[in-house]
Amino acid sequence: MNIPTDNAGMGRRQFLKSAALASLALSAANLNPVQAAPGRARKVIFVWLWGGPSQWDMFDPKPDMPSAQRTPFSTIPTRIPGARFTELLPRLAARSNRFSLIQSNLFGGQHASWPMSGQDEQTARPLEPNFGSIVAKHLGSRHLPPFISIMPAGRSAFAAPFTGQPGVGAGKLGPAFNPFYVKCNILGEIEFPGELTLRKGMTQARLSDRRALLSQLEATRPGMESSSVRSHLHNFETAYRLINSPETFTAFDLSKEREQIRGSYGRSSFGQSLLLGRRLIEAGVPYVQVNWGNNADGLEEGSSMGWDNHYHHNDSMMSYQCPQFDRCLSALLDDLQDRGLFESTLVVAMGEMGRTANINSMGGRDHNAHAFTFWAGGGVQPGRIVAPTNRAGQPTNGWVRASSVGATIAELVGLDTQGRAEMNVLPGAEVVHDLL
Amino acid sequence: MICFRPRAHGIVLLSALLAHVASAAEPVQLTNDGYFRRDLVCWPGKNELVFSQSTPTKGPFEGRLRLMRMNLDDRKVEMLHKDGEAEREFAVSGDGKVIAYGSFRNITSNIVVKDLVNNKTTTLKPTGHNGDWFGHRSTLSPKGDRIVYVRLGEKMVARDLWKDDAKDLVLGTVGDEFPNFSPDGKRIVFSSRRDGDYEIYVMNADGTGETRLTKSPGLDVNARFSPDGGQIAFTSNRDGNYEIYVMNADGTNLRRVTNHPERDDFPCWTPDGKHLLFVGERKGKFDIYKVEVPAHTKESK
Repeated sequence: MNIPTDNAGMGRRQFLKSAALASLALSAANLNPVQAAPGRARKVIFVWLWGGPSQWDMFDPKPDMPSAQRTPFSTIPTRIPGARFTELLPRLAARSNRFSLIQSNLFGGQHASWPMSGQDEQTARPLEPNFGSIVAKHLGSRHLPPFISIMPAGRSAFAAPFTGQPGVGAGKLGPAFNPFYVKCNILGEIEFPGELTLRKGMTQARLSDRRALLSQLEATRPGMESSSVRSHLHNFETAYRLINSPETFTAFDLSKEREQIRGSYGRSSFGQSLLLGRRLIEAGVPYVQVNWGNNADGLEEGSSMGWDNHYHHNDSMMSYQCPQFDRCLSALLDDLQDRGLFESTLVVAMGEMGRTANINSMGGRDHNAHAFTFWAGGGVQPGRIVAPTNRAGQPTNGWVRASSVGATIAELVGLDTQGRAEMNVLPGAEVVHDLL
Repeated sequence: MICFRPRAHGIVLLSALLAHVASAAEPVQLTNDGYFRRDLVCWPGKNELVFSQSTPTKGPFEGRLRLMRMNLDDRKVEMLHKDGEAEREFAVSGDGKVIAYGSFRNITSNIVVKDLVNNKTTTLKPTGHNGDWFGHRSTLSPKGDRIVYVRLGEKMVARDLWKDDAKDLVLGTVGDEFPNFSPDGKRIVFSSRRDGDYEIYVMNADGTGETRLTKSPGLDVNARFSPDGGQIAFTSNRDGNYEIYVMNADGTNLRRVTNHPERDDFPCWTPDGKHLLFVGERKGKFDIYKVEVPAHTKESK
C-alpha cells in the first residue's frame, strides 16, 4: 500500500489524525438508519451493465424485424404472458414470474454515468447525485459504508469508468455518500483501496497488523495533489476500519459461503460480485452497485469486458455475456428468495443505453438511447412488461426516462415525493407506478 | 456425472440415446482451477493443448484473456507468450509450424500470424469505420500458407500468407462465422445465421459448393473437423443448454457426446481422433474435460 502525500509533505502522524477525523465524519453521517415502510425495499442491489447491452438479443427479441435487424438467436417462452426472451437467457426465462421489465427506457445513447443519476426533464442536464447516494442518505448504515460499488478486478483504478462525470458520485449530498469502491476477482478475492487485499491466505490478523500498517505508511509517495491525498486517506481509512472490524470483515469474506452457493453464482467476477453484494446488503449496506465490466468496451472477455458490442456482437453474446448474465442474475434471485431477502431487496439491472435495432456492417449493434431495465423484489410487482414495445421495437406507451428510474427506486425504499423534495433530489421525476 | 433429461424426441430416438449414453465413458477432468476458458486447439506434433484463459493473477494480465499451453501428459499449464496484449482464438497449421491468434485491446482486434520455422511474423489489421480494426476467428491451412478469418465481425475472408500482393477473398455471406479448415485443406466448415439461426455449413476452400449440414432450432456453432476429416464436432443448445455433438462430415450420423445440465462448449479433437476435449462449466467453474467420442450409431440428423 502506498499512501501519497501532497507537496506540503503530510507525515504519518498527520495522516493518522486525518484518518481518525474522516472516520468520525463517516460515522456521524451514517448513524441514521431508518426503517422502510413494510412491503417495500430496505436494500437495493443495482446492477450496472457498462457499455449498453442489446435488448433485441436478450429480453425483447423481435422475430418479425427485417433480417438486417432481427436477432439471430431463437426465442423461448417465458412466464410473462406474451413475452419471449432469446435462447441465451433460459434461466431468467424460467424465473420471469419473479421480475418485471421496462422495455422502453430512454437514456442518453452515449457512454455516460448520468443514467444512474437521472437527467433534468426540461434542460436535459445530467443530475446529481447518484441514485445510490440518495438511498444511502435516506437509509443510512451503522457499520458499513452506505453505498458500496463493486468493480471487477483488473488494471483499472478504484473508480467507475467516466469518473468525474455527473452521476457517479454523491454531489451535493456530500462525500460520505460517495460510492466506496472495492474490487472482486473471479475467485471472489476482494481488493480494497490502498492495496489492502483480501486474498486467499490473507488473514484478518495479518491485515490489521499495526506494525505492518505503519511500515506501509512509511512508503509514502510524494507529488500528489492534496485532494488526492484526502480522497486516498478517506478510502484507506474506511478500508482499514472495515478490515479491522470482525463484523464488517466477515461481510467481505466470500470463503464463508458454501461452495454450492458460490458455484451457483459462477466463477466470474460478475457472479462473485453479486454474491458479495448479497452478503453486503445482508450485513446492513443499504445500496450496493455491482458493475459488469471496468470498461464499456465489449471485447476483453473476462472481468474487464463491457457490453459495447460494435463488433463481435453475436459471438460475445452467445459465448460469454449472456450465459454469464443469465446464470449470475438467476442465482441472485434464487439466493435472495432462499434467504428470505427477496421481498425486502430491490434488484435493478440496466446499462447506460441499449443497442440499435440495425445490425451494422461489422455484425455488431451500435449505441441506442432506447434501453431496457430489469426490476425484481423490493415491492416490484413481478411478471409485468412496462412501457412495452411493438413488433417493430417501437414504444407503444411512451418512454421511461432515467430520472423516473431513480424516483421509482427512491419510492420503493420509502423516500416519497415529499422526502425527495426535502432532500432536493430528482426534481419533477415521476414514479413508474406500473411497476408497483 | 451424465444426467439424461428426456425430451420429446420420440420413443425410438429416446431408446437409441439411452443405449448410447449407457455405453459412453465419463468425461475426465483435466483442470480444476475453474478459470474461464475457451477456444481449445491441440497443437499437432507437440502433445499440447492451447486455449484462452482469464486469469485472476495480480499483474498486467489480471482479468484478461491470455493464451495458455497445457502439456497433455503432465497437465502443466503455462502462458504461451510472456508479454503482449490480451489474446485469444489460437489457430495452428496442420504441420504445426505456423500459428495465428487474435491480439486485442478495447474494441479492436488484429490477427498475428507467426511462421515458427522461418521466424516470420505478419499482422492482419482489417480496418473498419472510425479507423478501428477487427479480425478474429482465424483458421490455417494444413501447410500454413493460407488463412481464413472473420473480418470486421462476420464476413469470412481467405488470404494467402507470406505474399506481399495477397488480397482478401470474401467467402460465403454476411453472418458466417467460426471457420475451420479440414485437415486436407480442401473444405471449410463454419456456422452461419443466413437462414435465421446459427446452423453448420461446409464449403470448398475456394468458397464454392456451400452445403448446409444441420437444421435444428437454436445454436449450432464452434464446429471442428476431426483429424481424419471424416467427422465434425460442434456445440449445440438444441436440448436447452450447450452440449457437444459429433456428426459425419456430410451431416449424417449425429451423436450427442455430452449431457450435463450445465454448459459444455469449445470442442477440440485429440490428435488420435478418439477423444474430444471441451470446456465444461460445472458448479460455475470452467474446466477442461476429455471424453471418448461415441461409436457410430444408426441415428440420423
